Amino acid sequence: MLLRMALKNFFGGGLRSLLNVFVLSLAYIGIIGMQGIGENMRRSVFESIIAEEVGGGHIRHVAYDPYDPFIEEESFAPVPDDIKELQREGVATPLLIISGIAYPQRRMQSVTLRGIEPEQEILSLPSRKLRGDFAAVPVFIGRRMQRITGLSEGDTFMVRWRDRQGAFDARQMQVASISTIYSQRLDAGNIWLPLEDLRSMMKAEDAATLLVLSPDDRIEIAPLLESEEWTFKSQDELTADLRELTMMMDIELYIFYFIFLSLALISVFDTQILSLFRRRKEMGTLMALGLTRRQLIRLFTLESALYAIFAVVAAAIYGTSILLLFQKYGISMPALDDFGIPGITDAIYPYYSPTLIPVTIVIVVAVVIIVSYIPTRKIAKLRPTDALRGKWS
Amino acid sequence: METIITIKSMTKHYPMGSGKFTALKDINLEFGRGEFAGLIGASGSGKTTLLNILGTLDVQSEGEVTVLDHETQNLNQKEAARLRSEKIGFIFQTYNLLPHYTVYENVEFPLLLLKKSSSEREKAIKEILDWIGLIDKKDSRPGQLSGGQCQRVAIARAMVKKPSLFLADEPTANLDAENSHNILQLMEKMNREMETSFLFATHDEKVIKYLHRKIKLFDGKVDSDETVKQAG
Repeated sequence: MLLRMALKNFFGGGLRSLLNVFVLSLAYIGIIGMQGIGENMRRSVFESIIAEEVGGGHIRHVAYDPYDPFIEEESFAPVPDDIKELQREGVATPLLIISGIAYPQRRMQSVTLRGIEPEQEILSLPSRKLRGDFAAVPVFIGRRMQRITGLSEGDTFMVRWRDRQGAFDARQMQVASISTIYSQRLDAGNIWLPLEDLRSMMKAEDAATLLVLSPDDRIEIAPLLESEEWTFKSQDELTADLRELTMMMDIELYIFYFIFLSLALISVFDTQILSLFRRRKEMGTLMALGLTRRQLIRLFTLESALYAIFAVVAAAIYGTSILLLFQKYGISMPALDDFGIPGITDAIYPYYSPTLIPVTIVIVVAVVIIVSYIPTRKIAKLRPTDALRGKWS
Repeated sequence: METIITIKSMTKHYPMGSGKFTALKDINLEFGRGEFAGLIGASGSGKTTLLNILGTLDVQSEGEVTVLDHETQNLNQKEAARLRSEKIGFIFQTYNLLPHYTVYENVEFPLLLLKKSSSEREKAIKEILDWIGLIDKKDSRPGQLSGGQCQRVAIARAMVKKPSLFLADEPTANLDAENSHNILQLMEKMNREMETSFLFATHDEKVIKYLHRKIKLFDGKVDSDETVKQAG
């Protein structure tokens, strides 16, 4: 009976009900959209950084500093035999990283040369594009690097570097592939070439700056690190700064979440307060007809819950297409790309996890019920005689 | 005549500032089944307060009140609500119809509270709307009706559950003379044909003329209690 009454009052509310439903549906769409963006950022940041860079952790040369733009010549060494065993088992892949200068389109640019095994399968990078016959040393670059250098696939350009003996040398390179690299720090300013070519350019046989471990295998590292030249960095250590970054993003998204929800709740709260004052006489009449105060509280709370429920329907009708459009075409974020947040390309494609929508609905409905219940509790103190006169006790 | 209301040494105070205001003082009354009685008196004499106490919408400060075998001072909120929904019909000065409901739904409401089946409800509503002459308005909303029609719907809503007692607070105050007479004749007919007890709170001469028993209140006390001999 109360549900029937609540429905009647809801539809009888006309424009007021419609407005509340609209505001709440906007909150649903806003919250789902923002959370979708957040979820995507979390996923892409972590997934891409682990897939492209961190893997299951690094065994690094102690002198290697990834934040030093001028990588020292002494920051690599031949891979010790026991660590090389990991390579043979396919659970580690070596990278050789040195600095150099590229001359694309007759311009000079400092670059990081990264030697990678073309056959490796541990990192999600297009290293296989380096296989085949090329007129010069094949390289692949990311799309940011393409924008910076203006290079196209098939273009050749000169790279100069300093070898172990301190002598400058130069070689012609050819762009084998331009690919999407999600991690900005592996893209802009980076040139990827076959590991053996880079070793030969550096006259550093078997050398590596670091070895990336497979994220899928649990490898006992400690016994392998007897040499003081190599150190182990776990996946957790390597992603610590990212966790802080995503935590900051989460906080920002929760602020938006809070703003959206607050707007919706203020609207519901206002309507409820107004409703309680406007409908005092009706409450008195209902009491006189035999409704208890508890039933009245339930009736008014149920009416507010209906706003939240009908808002789900409204959001489903007009919001689904908006959210799907965002998911398909993404939200352009060139500014974020320039910030160099790893894993973020020039657009964000919201990801709506299977739990996101039901959880959002449950949270909004629950909060709406709580918010509408707060002013409704006043009814518990309402005297029927005062209500009939349109007064509060 | 079976007694349905007994009031013994009843007093009602309201807090006022640091003191209290006495609305009713030492009331002693009895009402029998089938009475058509009225509490009359000027504004502030305590008519509505007494009616509210008898309708379990308010509780006396002192004394005993028994309504339809229930001592009102001992009823909790839920029991009082049940007594109202089952045995007492209210008629208000401003009709107090539910604005979003049709005539049919307004009349249906007390039956929903009593958990009557759909077929029982339909039969009772059609019967009562036919009786008060508003069957053709069953799908109208209160806003589409005249004052007289609204009050008739309010009567139908009070009547549909066949209560033992009707409490009517200034039922004709918002009606013109013709509508007032029509409504009062309708109530008198119900009283005659169904032996339903009516208790009015009024100072309207049009209503007073119809009363079979007139209890005059003055400053919260019973000033006079007069039974009018009915012709025939």
